[in-house]
Amino acid sequence: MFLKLAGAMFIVGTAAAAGAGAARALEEEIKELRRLEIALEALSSEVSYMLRPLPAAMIAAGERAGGAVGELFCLMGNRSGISGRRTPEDVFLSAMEETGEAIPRFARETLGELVKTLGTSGHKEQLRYIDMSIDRVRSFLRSAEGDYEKKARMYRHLGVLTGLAAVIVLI
Amino acid sequence: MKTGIVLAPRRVGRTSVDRNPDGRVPADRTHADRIPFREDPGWESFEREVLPLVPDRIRRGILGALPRGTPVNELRIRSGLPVCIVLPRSDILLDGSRPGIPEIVASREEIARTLSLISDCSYYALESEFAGGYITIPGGHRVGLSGQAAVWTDGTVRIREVSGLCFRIARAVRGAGASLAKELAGPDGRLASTLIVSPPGAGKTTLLRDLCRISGEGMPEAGIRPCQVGIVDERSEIAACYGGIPQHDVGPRADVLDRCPKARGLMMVMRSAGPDVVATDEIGGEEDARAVAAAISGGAVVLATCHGSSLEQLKMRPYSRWLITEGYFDKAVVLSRRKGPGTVEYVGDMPRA
Repeated sequence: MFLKLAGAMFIVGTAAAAGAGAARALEEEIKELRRLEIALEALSSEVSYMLRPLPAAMIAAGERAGGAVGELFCLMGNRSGISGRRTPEDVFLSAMEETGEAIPRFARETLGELVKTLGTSGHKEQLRYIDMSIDRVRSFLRSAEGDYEKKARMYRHLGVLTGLAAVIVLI
Repeated sequence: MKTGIVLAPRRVGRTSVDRNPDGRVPADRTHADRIPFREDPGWESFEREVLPLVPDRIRRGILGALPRGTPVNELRIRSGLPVCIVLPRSDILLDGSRPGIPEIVASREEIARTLSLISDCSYYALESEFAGGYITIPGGHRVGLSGQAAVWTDGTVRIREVSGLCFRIARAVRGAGASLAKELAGPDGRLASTLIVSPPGAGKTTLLRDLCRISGEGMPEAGIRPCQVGIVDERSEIAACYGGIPQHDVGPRADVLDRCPKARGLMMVMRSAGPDVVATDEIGGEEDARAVAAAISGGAVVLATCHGSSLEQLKMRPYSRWLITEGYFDKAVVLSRRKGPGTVEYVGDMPRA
């Protein structure tokens, strides 16, 4: 009896942890998207007010944002430009591979589009491209944050219920 | 008075340099770091600082066609045309017309990529430089742009479709002014206000640059003490600043106003840096002349250059005649290409009459 109870608690606990893990992963995604927003805003400031060269601007933006997105920006900044002999587009894919799966797909797609325009246009146009990306990220973030609470609760409850269901089936 | 002597580089002294063991500039250097100065680079700086910026295919073609160590003056990459390497006395067109010469025709995409790299992927930060038609890259090399120009709404002319890049390999001849310093020294331990006159390509900027260095370092054997030097470098040729940092050796006491119009810059540098010596290149026109006169009247020594083949020719121009006859410049140097660049036709007191 004691063993059955322990086993049931183990199953429910594992399933609940899996559900909480899924909720946490969703929370991390939201955090990375917020970091992407911060990084893009910082990049816009560096370009707009400081006219800082792109590699240095990306490093500054990455340091301000932190997380996997910040690491990606820093990698791209360190490897591109006249000293790295490569364009941001050249280094984007290799930098993405190094930062792993921590960066949400939406962020990867947005950055993939943005790097094609970085450093190749005049001041006004460059800011416009960055601002377009910022708007896109903000819009996605708003809907993602709205869905987050519902989804996180659903994952946690699903985890517990799946565990209970498994216990019932096994018993 | 010395004539007919070719200015030759001579070691005056070394500045401390900061290099990696293999002599390369570390890749993680920021724009604010100082690039090590070098003496008469020839092939070395071309290979180290220019070739890595061109696409792989073009670079391989150049290395295949050119023996190592060949001094290169220019590299010209034009969209749809063979790459051209300009040497001191000839050029090599990579058109496959001779054995050992590959055919390398640059594409529009390769030009665009090279442009992106030389601008440090930061076209937006260099718009005014692009409007001027050239940019300076690390090492002091200048890249001239050609292509389809367009007049913007603000009246500036910009090159909209860049179809050609001309890399002019920088050469600083350290010691170019050493043999003349004693003759140009003034009574107060500074160089005297000096006007350097020469036709294009005869070495006036090279000499001016070295005189700035000598002023900043001092030269006890010539009676020159170390001085604060202000350089108004309108065309970025004297110091060849990159990110505001001189890429040529202009001495340890130089403040450079890069890409600043001469007349305004002379006044600015006098007020902001309080230099003992002010240097500027290619004075031309009344505004420049008045600014030079004001700087000299303000107590600074002025080292300046002017286009011309002789002092007599300069006296035919109103603004330069006035500067000469009113006694603003104490010394004159006239250069020519008679025995090669840097041939000194005259060095001595400025004739007043």
